[in-house]
Amino acid sequence: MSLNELIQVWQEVKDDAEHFCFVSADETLQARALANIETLIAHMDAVLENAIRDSDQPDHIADSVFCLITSVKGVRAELKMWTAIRSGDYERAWDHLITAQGCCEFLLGRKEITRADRRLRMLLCLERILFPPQMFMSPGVVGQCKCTICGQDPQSCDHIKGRLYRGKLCRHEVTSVDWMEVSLTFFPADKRRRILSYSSDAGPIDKLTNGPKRPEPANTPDATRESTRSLLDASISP
Amino acid sequence: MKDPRIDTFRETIDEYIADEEVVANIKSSITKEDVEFLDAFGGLNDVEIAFLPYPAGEQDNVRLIQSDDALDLAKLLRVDYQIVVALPNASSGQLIQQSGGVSLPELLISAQLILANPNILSIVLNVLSNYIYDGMKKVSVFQRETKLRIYVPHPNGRATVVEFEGNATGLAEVTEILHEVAQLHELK
Repeated sequence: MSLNELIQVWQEVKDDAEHFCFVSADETLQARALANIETLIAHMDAVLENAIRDSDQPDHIADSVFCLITSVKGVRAELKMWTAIRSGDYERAWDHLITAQGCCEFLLGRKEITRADRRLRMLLCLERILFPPQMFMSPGVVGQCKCTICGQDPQSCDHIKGRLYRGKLCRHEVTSVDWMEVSLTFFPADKRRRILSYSSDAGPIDKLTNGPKRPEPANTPDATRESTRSLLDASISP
Repeated sequence: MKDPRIDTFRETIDEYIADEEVVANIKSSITKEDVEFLDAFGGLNDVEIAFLPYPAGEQDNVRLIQSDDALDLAKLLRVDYQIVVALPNASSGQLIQQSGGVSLPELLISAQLILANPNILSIVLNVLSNYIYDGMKKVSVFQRETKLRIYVPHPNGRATVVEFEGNATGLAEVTEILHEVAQLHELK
């Protein structure tokens, strides 16, 4: 499949999915759109692998496919947010919303995808409308990193964090840390690091619902653990 | 989009420049502590452009280290513009502050470098401006505030302080004002 054909399929599936990015959307059709997106992502991942491996293909092909995948992942997160809201799983809905925002942020200013700014503005508005104001944590650590493209110390290589190199995103992976401080902030690097609950005379209060904190279901990952996991992730969201 | 405060800022600086008395009486904002701090990096005298490390930690346990933003910015200048920046203490780890804002280091740019390459200020401020803009994509446009303080040292030990507060895109326009201030010092 050529890049143009791939873009055509991507556009169709994405437009169809965006059609169901609402809380009142038909549940069955929403689920079908989500399944189509999963299939498309799996297919595009294979195309990306080929583009990276095939040395005859120019770098921009792999970069374009990466951007298309990121865009679809953003729509997938948005769809999942609406289904999570419908099922009353607000913690998960919040995480999906932040993932969708991260995908749009990554695509801002990239020539492959247009109108990411509009989508991001809408998602930022949704954050204000759907959820109460949150407080976040911002850790400060002294650490050593390595470049995800070449594995070297980022100071000794020429790869720039956040740029694409033949379909691979350059990130700085933290290899060792020495904790310095944790700040409370309204503007964190990752909005998944939020204060989950606070104590009151009536018991712990959930920051998302402003009501009593519900016990964690036994079969889902612990939210605190999830939060800690992302605490040290110095990478870019998507 | 042009920040309207740029014009106000420019007018204020123009007033300073027009009035020699005012320039002569501008308070020297480089404190004794600043001088001691700079002296600690005596090797920087021979360097044309440097990022000063950030003092991180509590009172009794202060470590001078470079922040991740400083290292990323230095790398951008090196890779995209072939401008080599000295980074004291870079090998002792980097300060990773996972906040939504961008916190950049204090920069030293030598007069010799500016004389040899008059475009250097424009390039550095443009890269700074783009870096801050990229770093603050996720912050609402109404909250994208940038603060910058520039010291232009005078041979007599005093310094003109140029302060900028506004959005990141306006940062690039500070160059012209800095050149005017530098020229004034040269003339005096």
